[in-house]
Amino acid sequence: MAAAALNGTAMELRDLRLWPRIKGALKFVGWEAVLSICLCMLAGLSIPQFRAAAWRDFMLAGAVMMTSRLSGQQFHWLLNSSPTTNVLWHLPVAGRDICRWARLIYLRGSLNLLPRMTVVAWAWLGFPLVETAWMNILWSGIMLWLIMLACVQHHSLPLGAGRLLGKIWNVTLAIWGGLVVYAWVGNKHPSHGLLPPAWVSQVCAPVSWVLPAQWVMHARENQIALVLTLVCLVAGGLFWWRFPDALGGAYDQLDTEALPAIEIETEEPAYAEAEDLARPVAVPEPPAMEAVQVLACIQQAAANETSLVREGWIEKLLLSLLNERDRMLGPILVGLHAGWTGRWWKAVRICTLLLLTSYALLAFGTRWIKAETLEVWIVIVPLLVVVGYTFPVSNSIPLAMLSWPSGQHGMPLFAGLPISMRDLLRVSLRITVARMVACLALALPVIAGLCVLLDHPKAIPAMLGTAVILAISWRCIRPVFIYYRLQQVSRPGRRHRLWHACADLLILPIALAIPFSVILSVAVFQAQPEWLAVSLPLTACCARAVYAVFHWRVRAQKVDWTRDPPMQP
Amino acid sequence: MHIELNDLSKRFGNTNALDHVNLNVPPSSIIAVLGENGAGKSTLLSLLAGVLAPDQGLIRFDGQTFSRENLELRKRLLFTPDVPVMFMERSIAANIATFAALYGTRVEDHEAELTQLLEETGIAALLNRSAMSLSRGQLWKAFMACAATVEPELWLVDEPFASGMDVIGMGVFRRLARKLADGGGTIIYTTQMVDLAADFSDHICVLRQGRIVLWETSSKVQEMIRATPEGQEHVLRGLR
Repeated sequence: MAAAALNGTAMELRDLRLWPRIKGALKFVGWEAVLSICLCMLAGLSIPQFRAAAWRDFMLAGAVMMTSRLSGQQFHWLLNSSPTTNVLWHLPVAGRDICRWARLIYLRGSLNLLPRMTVVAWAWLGFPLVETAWMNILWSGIMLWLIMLACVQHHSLPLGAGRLLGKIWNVTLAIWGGLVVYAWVGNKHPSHGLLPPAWVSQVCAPVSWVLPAQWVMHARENQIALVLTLVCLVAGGLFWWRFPDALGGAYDQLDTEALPAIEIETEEPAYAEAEDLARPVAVPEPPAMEAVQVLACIQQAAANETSLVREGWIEKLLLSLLNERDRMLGPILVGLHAGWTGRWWKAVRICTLLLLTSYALLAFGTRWIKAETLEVWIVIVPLLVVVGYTFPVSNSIPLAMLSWPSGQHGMPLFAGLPISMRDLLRVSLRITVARMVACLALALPVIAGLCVLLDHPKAIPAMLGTAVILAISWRCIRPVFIYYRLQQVSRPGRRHRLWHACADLLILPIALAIPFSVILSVAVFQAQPEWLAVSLPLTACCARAVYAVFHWRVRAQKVDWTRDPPMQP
Repeated sequence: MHIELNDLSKRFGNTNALDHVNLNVPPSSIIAVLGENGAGKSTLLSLLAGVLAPDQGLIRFDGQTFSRENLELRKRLLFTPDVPVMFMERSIAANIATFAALYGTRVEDHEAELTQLLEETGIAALLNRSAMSLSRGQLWKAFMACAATVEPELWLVDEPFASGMDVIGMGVFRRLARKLADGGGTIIYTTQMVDLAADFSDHICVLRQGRIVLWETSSKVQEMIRATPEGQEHVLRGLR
């Protein structure tokens, strides 16, 4: 066992740290792939006429360059502003070593962009699904990744060329961004004639050659592209290799003692004699407080706390839903100023203005803007306002999860207080109900108003029913979010088993996903609403089960309430 | 409160923060937990408070197995990490009221004692000030007012003598802790200062690399300190 410990291997099988690493890697690769595919879909590459157009190259080359620019900003942050380098620059560490460290961290992290570049290469080659194409795709992906890395070091080009190149790329990317939005709208509404006109693809073709990714993808058939690619890669490689010596060396050669001293001219002060300098003065004692005064002060403070929560009708509604203990806990966990009612009234004012404006636009604005386009925005914007201002997204008890320093680890605030998980669940659910009632109080009239505006009065019952179903299902699924929030501020103890993680991550969410997706499909398509009688309770049970499993683990002492993982020796 | 630790262990990665700790803490006592840096003192306190879960072993309070979700037991203890848990956006008066409400005690029952404590520490003049505006030492002094209101049966304090409090505050802490202990409570605090611990405790527990290497009365430890010039280091290392 001692030998195993010396080798750094786990002495017991139940080392659960393997699963979080796998989970993290899977999550990241999955998200990268999804993001990249969405990016390509946004650029309209899923439909043939866009792929055939010359602007396909511009879209994809722009995606690579955007990644490079964002990644470059991350590198510069790492070198100049990250907490670690801020400390390192102030320590007796050679600048070269700091730059080497930053280079290593960045390049290691940039491997995460390889999946994205591979998806871009796949899109560039037309999404082929044959086995023989995969080597080509992989190779192209790697080349795009290398080009992307090389472009990060464009600042190293001499004579200001790097800065000029950066500006050219920024302007190009601004055009690219505009075209991405244009393509997305066109993709969604091809019948509106928003396909790119011919001049767009004619301009994109030459402009895309400003972007190095274009050189890579045409290197096989175009010698100039091949030369440009090789020059870019070689220059980028050289710059990355010499970067620690170039920047770090300049820093190391700074001789602070050789800098001229700053001279400040002052008049000679009139120094007093030593005995005149220290003159003790008597500080009056503050007036003593009577016990009655202290008690009154504390009681007044307690009364003020509760009165602050009663600042609006939503808060009053909440207090009416809470029992005695929760009326004490609620304000503690929510914080001083919930502000729900204020935001609700703000949303009411904005939605009223929006509906009036929509009426005016529909009546008089269709000569400039297509009615179909107007209708889309008339529906989206007020609903976004309602959701943004009134929908209870968070767990509503922010103070409970506040990170509190405790020795080597941080802990959530509620762990230092006699507050249980059940208290958190109860208070959070009651807050959700109160806020959901307020949300529906605004959403239902807005939806009805929109239906009338758009001349669909018969759709009102169905739309209102959909909103109510969604609200109830949100309440049913709420325990999952509370569990998720609690899980973020905790860490499994060593009694945790791998199958616990599997149960948490696979079985229960799957059991939850099925009824919840049924609810969504019924709500959206209004087909077979009788399924709601089964799926709503099932969703509520599954969500509660997810929470209950975690609660059981806490009670069985399998969970540490710590926000940060402990430092490994 | 009688506290029992049975074969308590806690590991972080490959490090044994606590390694098969067995302890029987009598009620009505002040226990000083001594140890070098990284000995496991704060971990022990966090386990007793339910912030961390033991990998092995049991904690019993008055014969009942302790779990953090057992609110009845949880309300009988007060945990004070190196930064006292307080509601920073609220005033000190509001904090005192909040702690009283959380623990189900009444501020009126502790009126005189609270007033004396607040006056003595100088916090009385700051009652309406937000906790966020206080210095570290003032925060500790304000927290002692909360502790006096709660009157816990078990008070777990992490490094009170490194809290930044002045000697007045330290004196108030000692008196409050002694009063709670005389009333049947148990105070367990961590420190690295051997002489201070010997001067202010009934028992001393020394941890080294997660194990208890010494469990003695404070008078015995004072003898050990006086025995050799390196007495304090010997105590810290558990050498007799």
